[in-house]
Amino acid sequence: MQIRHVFAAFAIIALNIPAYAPQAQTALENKHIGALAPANLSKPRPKAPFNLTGTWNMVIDQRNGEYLFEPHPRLTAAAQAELDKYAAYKKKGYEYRDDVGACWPVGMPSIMTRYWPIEIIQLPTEIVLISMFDNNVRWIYMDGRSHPSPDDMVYTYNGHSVGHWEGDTLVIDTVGLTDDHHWLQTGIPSSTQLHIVERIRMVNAGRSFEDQFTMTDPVNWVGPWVNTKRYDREDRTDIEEHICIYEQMNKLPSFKYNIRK
Amino acid sequence: MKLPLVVASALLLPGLTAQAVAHHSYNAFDMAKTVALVGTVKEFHWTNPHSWILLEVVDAAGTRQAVSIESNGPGYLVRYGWKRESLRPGDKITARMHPLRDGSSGGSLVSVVLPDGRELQAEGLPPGHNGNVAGR
Repeated sequence: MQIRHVFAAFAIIALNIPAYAPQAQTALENKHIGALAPANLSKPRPKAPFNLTGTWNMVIDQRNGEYLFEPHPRLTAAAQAELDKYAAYKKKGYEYRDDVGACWPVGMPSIMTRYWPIEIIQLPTEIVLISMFDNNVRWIYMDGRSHPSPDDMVYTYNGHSVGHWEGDTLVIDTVGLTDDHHWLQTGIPSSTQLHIVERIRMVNAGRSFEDQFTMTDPVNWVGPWVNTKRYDREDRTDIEEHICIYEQMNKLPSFKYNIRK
Repeated sequence: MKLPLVVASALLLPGLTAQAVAHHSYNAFDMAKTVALVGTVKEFHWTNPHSWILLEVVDAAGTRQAVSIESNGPGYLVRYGWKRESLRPGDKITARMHPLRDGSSGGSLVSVVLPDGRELQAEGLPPGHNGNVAGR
């Protein structure tokens, strides 16, 4: 009898639990189909002119600023004042606002110019780009979506990127970049108005690609800032876990020379 | 293929490469100067994104001093032949480093000479870089 009572109790509990059903999607989730959804991946699309899947190294080229985007354009007075502060601290052996040294993300466009390999995975709907440096990731949506509206934009270090093909060129448009602890070069501030257009084309019979960066930010500089970097395919390596940990960084001898106010 | 990479690394001025390799610029260090310190390893931290060594040195007056020497992370150092236990507490080594500009006891590691005489490099292009350098 007792066992029967227990079963009865279970039955009552079970009746009170609704059958499993997916929760209704929120309005935001309904906006678009995910880039990796099979229904999205399988949509018919023209064949991509080239495939970036691979591991790549930026060529260190003195003629265009190596890891910097040189020369830089005329800065606004406020941006120039920040750069001057950086230079003054540097003269005294200090680093001014080296937020990356305290584990803040490098952000766009600097993440594209570290001397570490970049892994790229190209799918019809999305290109995923992972820098070995801090394993920072860029997602470039190729499924025809547009940028979020200003109301929906979440400002991030690598921004929101959408790409499309123009002939044999991949054009990537990036907005939604944060101005919080996000610097270009060494000490040039960036605003949320920073807009980056990249034009990528294959060269060197597919063993290299060129990425022409055109950057505008009316808050910080005048006119477009254009620079082209080249990347070579590197088939003999893979990227690995590489993560910045503040509690490790602050033990380094250089840390106290990083003036972060 | 190892040799060309090392040769290419040697062509690069450390001050130019360090910033894009590391997490911070090297303004605090005098990258034009390299000093050699003979001492005893007290601690070796095999950590990302930067490894570091605490080296005990004895100066001319007989005073013991702890010198903190930072380097690149394990993923970087293994490509230059380092292993997790390349340095153990108690090892007598020579550390070559770019000293802190203000004379404090610390620096940025260039290389170490191990007790068996082998030298391990700690400066140059990062792992997987093909050494392609243009415009020189």
